[in-house]
Amino acid sequence: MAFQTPIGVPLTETQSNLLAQLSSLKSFLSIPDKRVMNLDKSRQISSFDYLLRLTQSTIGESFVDVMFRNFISKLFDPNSTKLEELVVKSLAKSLDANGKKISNSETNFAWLQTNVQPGLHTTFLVAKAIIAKQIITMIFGPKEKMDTSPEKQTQFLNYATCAEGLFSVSNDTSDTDGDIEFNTVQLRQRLQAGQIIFTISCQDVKISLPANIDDVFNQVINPTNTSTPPVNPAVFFDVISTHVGNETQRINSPVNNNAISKSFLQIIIEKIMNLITPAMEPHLAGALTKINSGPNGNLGLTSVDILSDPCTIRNLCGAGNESEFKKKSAFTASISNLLFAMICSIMLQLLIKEIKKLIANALAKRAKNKLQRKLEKQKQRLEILDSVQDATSAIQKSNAALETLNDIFNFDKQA
Amino acid sequence: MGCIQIDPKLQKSEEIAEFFSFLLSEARNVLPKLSIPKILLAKLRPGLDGSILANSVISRFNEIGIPTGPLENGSPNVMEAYTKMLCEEIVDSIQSDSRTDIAVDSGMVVTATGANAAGPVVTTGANPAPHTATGIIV
Repeated sequence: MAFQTPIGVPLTETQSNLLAQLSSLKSFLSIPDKRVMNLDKSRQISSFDYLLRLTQSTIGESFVDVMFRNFISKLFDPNSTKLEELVVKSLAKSLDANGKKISNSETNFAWLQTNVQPGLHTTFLVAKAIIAKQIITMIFGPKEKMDTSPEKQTQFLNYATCAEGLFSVSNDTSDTDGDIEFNTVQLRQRLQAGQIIFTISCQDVKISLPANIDDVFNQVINPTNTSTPPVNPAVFFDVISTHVGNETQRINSPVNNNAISKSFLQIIIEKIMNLITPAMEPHLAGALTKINSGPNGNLGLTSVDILSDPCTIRNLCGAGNESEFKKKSAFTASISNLLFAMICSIMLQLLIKEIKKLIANALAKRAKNKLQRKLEKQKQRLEILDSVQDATSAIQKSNAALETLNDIFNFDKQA
Repeated sequence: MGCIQIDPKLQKSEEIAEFFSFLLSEARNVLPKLSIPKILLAKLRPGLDGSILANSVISRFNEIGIPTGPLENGSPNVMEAYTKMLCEEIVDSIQSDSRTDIAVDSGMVVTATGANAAGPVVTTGANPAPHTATGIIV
């Protein structure tokens, strides 16, 4: 039998329309329904993450940098009392949670504000730089950089390990209990080696503190010229962030330099929130002395009672003793949340300002474009009208011209 | 989330979204109410035309980098065809299926003139109840 080519049977318009409509109906039905998400607040994206996403998508990644540097600068500014205010609020919260009253005539917060905050500010003029240095050494390690005393070195190493993930800026809903143990061990090993590790394109990039970091620290903590105003220790974080970017460029690839510096700044924010309490603890001795010599006499409080170290909090976490956990974590919970509120507030203020500018510019551009398009269209319509007028007179002229030739067209009728 | 939870008072992502949505809706252009002469001048409008609409859209393709005309390999520009199809169908649908429901509120002043055996009569009144009308979009 000869080869038979299949003949495609053509469809009429009605037939093909119906086929198209029915098949699109089928695919429409297979699209999953839009689910209205009614999530509990703790399972929604956190305020920090949402503000971050808004900033990244509307203004850009570089503005995120500006926001974070703004936060770090405000927090560690020696001329500002922001950190002291947060410490005083958190001390008050911790005393309240532990049922301790410094004075019967006023609240713990009011008393601390009047009697402790000014002295704390004087201490923190120099201590802020030491606290910033302590946080950085606890991020990178090794323990030898964290303190001069071997006993304290082990203590700070433990604190740095336990503080990891104690407070998070994200509402992470995944169950990571299994990972926490593994990550803690890994972190301890990295801190002992004095490295942080980024995994970029399956390559582990290990970064240590720069060799000259002690000089950078000393220039701020022990300046040679004491008559100059104190330098904002936020500069330490700038140096470290630049160093991480440069090392990434050197070890991995120049294209990843920018992305890694920016990710690292984000990591620093969470590290500050988790490590500030153990970093600050040695500098609160004066405040504790004042508290213990308040109107209600010696309350016998130590830093362990009020501040609690990250390892104690970590051990109580999920151990079932909720009231003890709340008492021990009161200071850390308060200062972490206050720092969280501070950074969200900075991000929100800057974002509102930028988005208002964006909307105003977009509106102005939209109005200008709309007006331009309208004017163009009106101009085109007028040109059409003009050309129609010309055409009309052209038709009349053409008809008038043809009339002179009618003798020829109608000659046969005339004869 | 870590051991220490974010204070519920700081879980404000929904409120942040609502605030920025409010900023965007506040920024929306509100067209002024048209005067009666301007509305009556609509009689001079030519009406919707799918092809003209499609042409207007296609003429702006180069603003966003979409090529116009046949493609480099000679194949027809499917984007233009799609735009034309979309505009034509939308305009056809508006012109053949859409309906404008109008309601005139009560209290509209009505003046009527007439005459009877006694002479010309002028009456003034108002419609006592709302009245509806239907229109189409051309």
